[in-house]
This record gives sequence, structure tokens and C-alpha cells, in this order.
Amino acid sequence: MMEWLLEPFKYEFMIRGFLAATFVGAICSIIGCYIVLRSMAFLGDALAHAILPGIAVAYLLKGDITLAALFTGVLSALGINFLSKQGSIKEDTAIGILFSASLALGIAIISSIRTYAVDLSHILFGNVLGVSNKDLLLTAILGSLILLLVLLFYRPFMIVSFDPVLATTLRIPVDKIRSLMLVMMAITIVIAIQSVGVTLVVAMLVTPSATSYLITKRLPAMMAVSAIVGFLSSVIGLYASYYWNIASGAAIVLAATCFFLVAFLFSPQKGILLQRFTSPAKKK
Amino acid sequence: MNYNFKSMLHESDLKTHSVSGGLSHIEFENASIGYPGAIVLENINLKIPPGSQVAVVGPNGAGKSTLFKALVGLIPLLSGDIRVHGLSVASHHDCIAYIPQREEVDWKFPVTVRDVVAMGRFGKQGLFRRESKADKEIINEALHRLNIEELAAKPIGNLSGGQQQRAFLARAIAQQPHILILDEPFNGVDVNTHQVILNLLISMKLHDVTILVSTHDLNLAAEKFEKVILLNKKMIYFGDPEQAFTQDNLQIAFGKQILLLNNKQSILVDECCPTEDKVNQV
Repeated sequence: MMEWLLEPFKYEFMIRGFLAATFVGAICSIIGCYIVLRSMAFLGDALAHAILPGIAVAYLLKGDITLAALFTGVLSALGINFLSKQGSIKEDTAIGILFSASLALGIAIISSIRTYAVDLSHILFGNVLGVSNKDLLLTAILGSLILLLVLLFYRPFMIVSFDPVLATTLRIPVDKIRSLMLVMMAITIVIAIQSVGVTLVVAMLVTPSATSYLITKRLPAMMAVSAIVGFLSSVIGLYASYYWNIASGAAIVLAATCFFLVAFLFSPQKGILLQRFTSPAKKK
Repeated sequence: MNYNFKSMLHESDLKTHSVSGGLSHIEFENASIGYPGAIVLENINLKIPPGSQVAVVGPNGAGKSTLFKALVGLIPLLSGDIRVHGLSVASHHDCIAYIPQREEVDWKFPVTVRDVVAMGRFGKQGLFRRESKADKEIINEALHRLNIEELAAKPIGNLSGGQQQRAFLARAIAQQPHILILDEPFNGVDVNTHQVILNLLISMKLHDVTILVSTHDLNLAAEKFEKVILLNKKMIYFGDPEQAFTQDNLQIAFGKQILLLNNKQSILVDECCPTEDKVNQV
């Protein structure tokens, strides 16, 4: 058993993969709590796709992909924030247009590159086993920055998410706080693209936090449990990827989905199975 | 810098509060409120002295919530002026506690009753400071006054409507406001909570807190409040409750909802349907 568990770590790229995936899994899951609570999953998806053209251009010009992604990510976050304040079309329509246009633009640019298929699949589905030491360092720095901001702004974030009206009467700068949250989301998505890719980022943001939402009662607990679920999903996903030769990003997301299903069925307060069994008894 | 000025303002207010009884606490001067092209309230003129208990009455869509939201800066002022303590609305930190209608809160959010009450202390704590011992005492006291101590650890979503209303009242108390604004606090609450809210209003009176409450209960407005604002897009009446509910005033305010009988006694039917209210408030 021990041997089975340790075997992947014989390879340096596996160690780097584990470090990157678990850290990213935890960070995504913490930010994801705000995304789940504020029903911003669609926005997260849009943001992930909006980053694609930036990555594509960096590929084309052989520039730094992560930096390019970071730049377009933050730009899109602020752009979406701006668009959603304009009243002319509904917010989800605006996001939908931006989202598919970016995806199309990104694919159009990438398709002009010769090694198109491989590169595209890495961007779309992630390539956590191809993480370099430099990538790992950048992930660690950006991830720590996100964690620090979550801790520092814990209460303003909570109040703005729970009760924006109170936030306004307390003179919390609601707009600035929302922009900051969007930028943090964008940064998180950028570091997550390496491990799960553009298409599966949303799953990493939403699934562990939704799982945790079902079994916790308070925000700090929700964040902690979510981080653990995200961490474990990454570990399990990478083992599955190593031994069964499955794409790592997909394996991580599937592991997280299993956690979610278990919570969805068996959560003491909100699980559908236990409620079905306990609620008739309560009625008597 | 701005912040320091505000906190100074607070302290001086507290000191002069009881002395300067003649100063008008809340002042609307030709205030028009709403959005360009969709004015909800027009030409409001009001001077509310400190420590008054004011009932705000009017049919659905009259602009009661809009009046409140303008006062806390949630809806823009189109023209005219609104002043609190002689200063514009934007320059106040958290001396106004506002409890919106129940529909406007996300009840599925993972916070306990205590978490909700603790949020009331945020304005006094600033961005990064932690809960102090004094904060904890104030929070416990607020929980105690609303009789929800034993619910403190429960998620807010698991409570009944009346209990949720009490949790929000406790939060407003923890905020230690000079002005307390309650939008339809008696809507859909149990008898017990109804009484708790009334008791609270009486005790707030002792602390010289100015209170504005919107309600559809005209008897309550007439009996328990010192002043009444009768509203329907415009100010119809502001003053003592005795003269508020004259036939003329009511007819202007409620229009077709009023039934005139032969002997000139009128019957008023004011039905409360918050969904309609919400449409008007955007």
C-alpha cells in the first residue's frame, strides 16, 4: 500500500504536479465559497474563457503565458464589472456574449499555430504534470496573495456578500470590494488553468464549495471544509491519473464531483436521502 | 482623514444630543428621489426632531421604502437636499441603522444569528480590527434584549420569520444608531415578536434614538407613534397622529382604496402586498 502511494513521487514532475494541484485546489475552493454564495458560477466560467485570447497571443509571441493570462484575466474582471453596471442589456446576456466571443477569439488565434491540437488541449484541459519550477513559484506567490486578501478582507467580503444593503449603510465601499473580489477570482482562475484547464476551472471553483455548503453552517467552516475537499480531490485525481492514465484535470474534477454527490445524498442537514428518512418522523 | 472626521462627528453628536433638542435631526428640503425618468418621490419637505418616533404610512408603491433608502444613501437624490445632523447623507458613517423588508435578504447564507448581530459592530471596528471585549458585550446585550440568546448559534435560515426579524433588530441595536429605520417590521411576524418590537421602540425612545417605521397598521401608527408621515408619491401630511387621518388626507393618500359611506364616515382598506411594493422600488 505504502509503495503504491509513494510510487508517483519517484518522478520530479509528479511531485511538482502534486504541489501545484493541491495548492490550486485549496485556493480555488476557498474563493469558490463566495462564488457559490453569490451565485456567480456563470461569471466564473465567462472569466475563465475570457482569459483564452490573452494566453493565445502569448503563445503566438512566445511570451510568458501566466503573465499574459493574469493581465487579460484582471482586465476581463474589471470589464465584466463595468458591463454589468450598464443597464442596456441584462447582465447574464452581456456575460454570455463576452464569454463566447473570447472563446472564439482565443481558438481563432491558437488555430493559426502549427502545433495547434496539443497546445489547445493543454489550455482547455490543463496539464498539471507539465508544471515547471517557475510556474510553481508563481502559483505559490499568487495563491498566498489570494489567501492573505481573503483573511484581511474577511468581514467586508462577508457583509458585502450577505447583505449589500447593510454594507452600503455601513459605508463599506461596495463597488470597490466587488471589483477586488472579481480580480481575486481572475487571479485564481489563472493559476488554476494550469492544472485543470479553461473548461474545468469552474468545477474547481464551484464543486468543493457547494459540497462544503451542504455540510457546514458558518462561512469560516465552509471555507475550511471546502479547502480540504479541493485538496483531497486533487490528490485523488492525480493518483487516478497516474495509475489509470486518465487526463489529470478531468480526474480531479471527477473526484470533487464524487465528494459532492456524497454530501448531496448524505448531508445531515441538507442531504436529500437523510431528509427523506427523517422528515416523515418529524411530522408525527 | 475623512474617516477620522466622521468619528469625531459621532462623539460630538453624542454629547450635544440631549442638549440641542431644537435641532432638526433629519431634514428633507425639496427632495426628489428616484431615478432620472422614474421619480418616485417629489418635493419632500420634512423636519424631524431628534428622538421622535415616526410612523410612515401610505398605500403600496407610495414610496415609503424609497424614502428610507434615500435616507441611507441607497437611492440617489435627484434634486433638493437631505441632511442628517445638518450634514449630507453621504458624510455619515453608521449612525443610521436600517432594516429592509424581509424579502431583500439572502436567507441561505451560512451565517449564525450571532454572526448577523456581530455585523452591526463593523462600522465601529473599521476594516481590520477584531472584535473587542466591549463589542462582545454589546452583541450579547443585543441578543438578550431581543430574547434570542438561545438562538445565537443557529443558522439564520433555520429561524422563523419573527425570529429572523428579531435577529436583524438585534443587529441594528448593536450598531448603536442615532436613527433607526424599520421597513415594515410588523409584516408577517408572530404576536410575540410584535410585542418585542414595540417594547424595543419604547426603550429606544429612552435613549433618544430617532425612529422611522413604515407600517400598514393605521391603528398602530395612530396609537403608538408621536408623528405620522402620510405619503403617496408626495408628502400629504406630517405631524401629530390626531390630525393625520382626516377624511381629506386619507382620500388623497389612498384614493380608490377608500370607501365613502353616506354619513361621511369613511372606511379604509389598505391591503399589504409587499411584492407590488418591490416592483416600485426597483
